[in-house]
Amino acid sequence: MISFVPPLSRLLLWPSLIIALSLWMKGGASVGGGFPAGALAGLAVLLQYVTAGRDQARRFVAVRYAAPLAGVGLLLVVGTAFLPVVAGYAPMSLFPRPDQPEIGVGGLHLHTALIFEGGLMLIVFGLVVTVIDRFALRTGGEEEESGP
Amino acid sequence: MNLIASLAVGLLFACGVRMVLERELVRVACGTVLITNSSVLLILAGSFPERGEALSVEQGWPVTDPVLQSLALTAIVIGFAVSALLLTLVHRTQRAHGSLRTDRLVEAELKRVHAAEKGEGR
Amino acid sequence: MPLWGPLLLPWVLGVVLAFLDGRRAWVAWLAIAGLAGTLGCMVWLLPQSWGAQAPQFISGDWPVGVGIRLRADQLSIVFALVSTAVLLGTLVYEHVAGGITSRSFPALVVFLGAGLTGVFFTSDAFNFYVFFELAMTAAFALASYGERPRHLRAAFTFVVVNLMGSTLFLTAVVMLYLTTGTLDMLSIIAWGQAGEPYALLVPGTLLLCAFGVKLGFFPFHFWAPAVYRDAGPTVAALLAGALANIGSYGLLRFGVDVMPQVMAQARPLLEILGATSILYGTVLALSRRDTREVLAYASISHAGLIIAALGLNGREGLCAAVALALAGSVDKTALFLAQDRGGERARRAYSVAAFSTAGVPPTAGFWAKAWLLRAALEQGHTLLAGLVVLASTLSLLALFRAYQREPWLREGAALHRGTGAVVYALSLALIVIGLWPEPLLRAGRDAIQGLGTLP
Repeated sequence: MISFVPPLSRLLLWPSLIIALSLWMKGGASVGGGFPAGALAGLAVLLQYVTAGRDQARRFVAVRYAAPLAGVGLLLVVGTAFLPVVAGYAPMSLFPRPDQPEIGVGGLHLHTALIFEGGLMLIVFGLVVTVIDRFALRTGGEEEESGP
Repeated sequence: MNLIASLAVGLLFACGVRMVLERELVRVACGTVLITNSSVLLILAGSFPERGEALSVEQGWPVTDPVLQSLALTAIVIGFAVSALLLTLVHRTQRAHGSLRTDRLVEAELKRVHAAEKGEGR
Repeated sequence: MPLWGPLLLPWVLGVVLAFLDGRRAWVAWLAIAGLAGTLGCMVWLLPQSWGAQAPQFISGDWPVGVGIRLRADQLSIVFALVSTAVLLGTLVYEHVAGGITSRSFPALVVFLGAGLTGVFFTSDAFNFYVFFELAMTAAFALASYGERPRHLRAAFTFVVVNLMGSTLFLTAVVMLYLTTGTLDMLSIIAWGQAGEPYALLVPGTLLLCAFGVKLGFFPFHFWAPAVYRDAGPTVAALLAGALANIGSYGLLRFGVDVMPQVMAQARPLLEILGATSILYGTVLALSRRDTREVLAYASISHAGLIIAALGLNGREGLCAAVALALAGSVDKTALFLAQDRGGERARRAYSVAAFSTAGVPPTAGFWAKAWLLRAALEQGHTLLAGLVVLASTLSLLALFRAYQREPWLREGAALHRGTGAVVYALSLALIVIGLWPEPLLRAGRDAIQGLGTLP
């Protein structure tokens, strides 16, 4: 019997990534945010690992460079948190300021918290994928690992 | 609702503690994961009495306390990172010792201590 | 110097270091320079903390309660200073002792520093938990540094036990929030002054357990000997010197500052726990053969001293607790680093640190203990005073029995100029403070003065 799971999981990958992105974008106004987005994207990749194997999953660039991606996310988070300091505001200040007009279309609002959340999403995604990759690696062969 | 939630938290915590006392390291790791999650459930249970929308835009709807939700989220993130680290440690221990049972590890430890004492006596 | 300086620097540095290979010499020097810079920022901040208004900011300029308040009063800044100095010393030691063997070691030490400064500066209970976990996660990863089987075993014990402690702490913070409706410490203090005194008893007890695990006093000490023995010497110095400060700081901050009512009820319990752990630690330190285990039990007994000092009524005891914690942090680090090496220099440094731990003049530890004795005698706790004197004598005995037995008297890799400089600097600091104790005593007194709600 040919299992229907592998093709289905391949089909599910892109929709889940798009949903993850939408979760990130609408995080400021309604249910969502960087963490669920990153976790969902990570889970989508996990599904690939489970059904198609490590080699197939590593076809994607984002999966191969997951750990640097997490570092970039951390930089984004720290940057958004502390860059307002340069302009004389308190750390973690939100731009546009609450009394300034909002930028955006419809339900979509653009503000610096979005960058912060994006960084968070990258951290979570990178962390999840790195951990999954390490474990997938171990079930295969014995290979020397380096620290996180 | 509160009763059910507290029972669930208690059960999770008890199972976690029971598993931490096991000899197998994987079970110990799973036990700590259970304990972490019991505390997350406790946080969420704090917001159960006042049921409402998560972050309602419309006026007049009851709104749940967003602080507790964000606390739970943060706790989950931290719990995830630490469990990943713990599992990595389990794996490395297994590779170093070839065993995951604490009694074997203790035996190895005793051997090391005896060897050290012999070395000191010479 | 604005307050965000010492917070920002280790974060940025940690992120940058995470990309680099920590085994290269220049990366290690970058980390050292960054930590030294953080230390410099804190020294700069020092006079401001002693000013009329402690430096503070609220994240994002939100009103209190929405934004997180970070604040550097005297207690925060002295703990942050000493912990960062210990981290810096340990990092320098590890680097000059023969090179760092792990890619992530400098980044992890810097992240540990970021977590610790955050813990000391935050004025928000949940943010305290976040920084606390950041420091703990870095420490978890550091505990396995060295990659030998016994290091891994130490790390496993450490992670499991401390994870339980963190969970207790999280539960306590959530209970605090559910009871008081706020996470801001100053608001909780205001709530406590108006509210009923028994309401915070349960979170208070949980906090005592959580910080007990960190500090390692009697019923929560069980992980300490195994971890301090099996972890590498540098890591043991980091854990005993810097990370244990979270425990003493947390007890002071949450016990004395945030929940003084609960503290007042917990006094007898604290004294019993303190006395038990002083006795237990010293007796077991005498019975151990392994030097590291002797040091571990000596640190349990030292934690007992801090707890007993907290249990004393009034300000004098609390001042003694601060001084004990600060002096203990430095001499634990010096002991763990010195016992790793052989030769004349290591012996001298070990002796000074051992004198300070036991409380022999002229060292910093003497003044801290003398202060504790005075506070105990003033309040008629003669038994406790007697116990402290007895424990000091016995721990001196235990530490020097270990000294005699230790093979480094005969052979072993000697401290060379670089490592010797670090250990010497630590011992010298202990002696200088011993000869001129005014800064230590003043730090202790003013740090407690800064906690406003005391009678």
